[in-house]
Amino acid sequence: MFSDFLPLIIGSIGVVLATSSFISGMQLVRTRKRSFEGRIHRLNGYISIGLFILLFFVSYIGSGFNMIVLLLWLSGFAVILMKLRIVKQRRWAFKYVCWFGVAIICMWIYIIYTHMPLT
Amino acid sequence: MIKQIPVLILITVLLLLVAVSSEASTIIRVPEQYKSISKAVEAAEPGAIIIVASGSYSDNIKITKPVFLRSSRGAAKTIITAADPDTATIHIQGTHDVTLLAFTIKGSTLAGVLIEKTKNLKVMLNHVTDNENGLLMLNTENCNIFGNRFDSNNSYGLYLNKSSSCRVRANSVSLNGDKGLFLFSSDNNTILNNKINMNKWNGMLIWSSNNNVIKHNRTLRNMFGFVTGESSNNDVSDNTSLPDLFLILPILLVYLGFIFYLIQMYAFKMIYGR
Repeated sequence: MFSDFLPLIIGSIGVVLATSSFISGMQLVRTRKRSFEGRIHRLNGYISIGLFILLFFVSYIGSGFNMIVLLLWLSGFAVILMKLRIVKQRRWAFKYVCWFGVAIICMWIYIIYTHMPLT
Repeated sequence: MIKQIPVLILITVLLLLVAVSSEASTIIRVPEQYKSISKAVEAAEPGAIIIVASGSYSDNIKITKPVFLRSSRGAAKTIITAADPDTATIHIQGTHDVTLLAFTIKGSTLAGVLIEKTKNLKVMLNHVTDNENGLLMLNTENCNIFGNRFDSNNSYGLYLNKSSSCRVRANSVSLNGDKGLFLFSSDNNTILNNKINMNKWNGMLIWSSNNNVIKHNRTLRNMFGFVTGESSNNDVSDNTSLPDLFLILPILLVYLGFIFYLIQMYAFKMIYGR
């Protein structure tokens, strides 16, 4: 019973952390000064990446090999990597990082939608 | 003493009735008395109770008489796989008063449970999976399909054809390759509180079927949730195609994210100071 809900629980924590990380990231971009927001942003961001990888193992490996699903997971991971890359490039960060933050929240919500136990 | 004679006669008659009724419902145990379920069904007198111990059985069972067939430890521990995949794993035909309780039924390229021309039937708490069709019901009257799981079948989960006065309640019909629940030319049935999710085509299809009550069912993430055609006088109400949880949970989590951010801000301020 618990294993049915485990991906949903991990996904829910992911949404909470991604939202918190997004808000702190926006504050960081707005104020342009290093403060708690930077620490919160990095802490939540890296934990949510860890959860994403954990969820991949729990969900994908548990349900068996499927090429389309694998490509979806890899494309989700590509969005995260691209966001990290853009954050490092300060020149692009202010322009594009907000869109990537929203994309990552949407991705987590989609993960929740696909992992709701229905049977 | 003379006054007590009628009372004594009455008690004797009652005891005789109890003895006769207990004789009528003989109990057969599988595998203690018969190695296979089909052999036990063949040997059973009408009205017999057949209790099957936990384990995996490879069998095709044909029921043509009133019997009560049940597992002793529940569906998860009592698995019947079709020995001949080309026929139904359990075939109930031309009889009445049959009960099928708590089995896992799988492995048929026809149907897990095939029911034809039967009256007063109960199919309860079974798990019917990995068949071509889950439960096929033809020309059946007055049945009770309760608390079963029909999932991962190649075509239909639950198919009622020319069947009437059946109550289909609290079943889970999910992940089937075509339709979840299909009513065809079936009238006066009650379809209540079923979960019909993630089927490849229609969740629930009602076709050429009249005077049915279809209430409080949930059809979610099927290609089409609920489809009806060429039918009339059906009472269709309070069915859900999208549960509230799907709308509420993401919004709630985003709010929680915002609150979590504020908590973290205060926590960091307390730890590191301003």
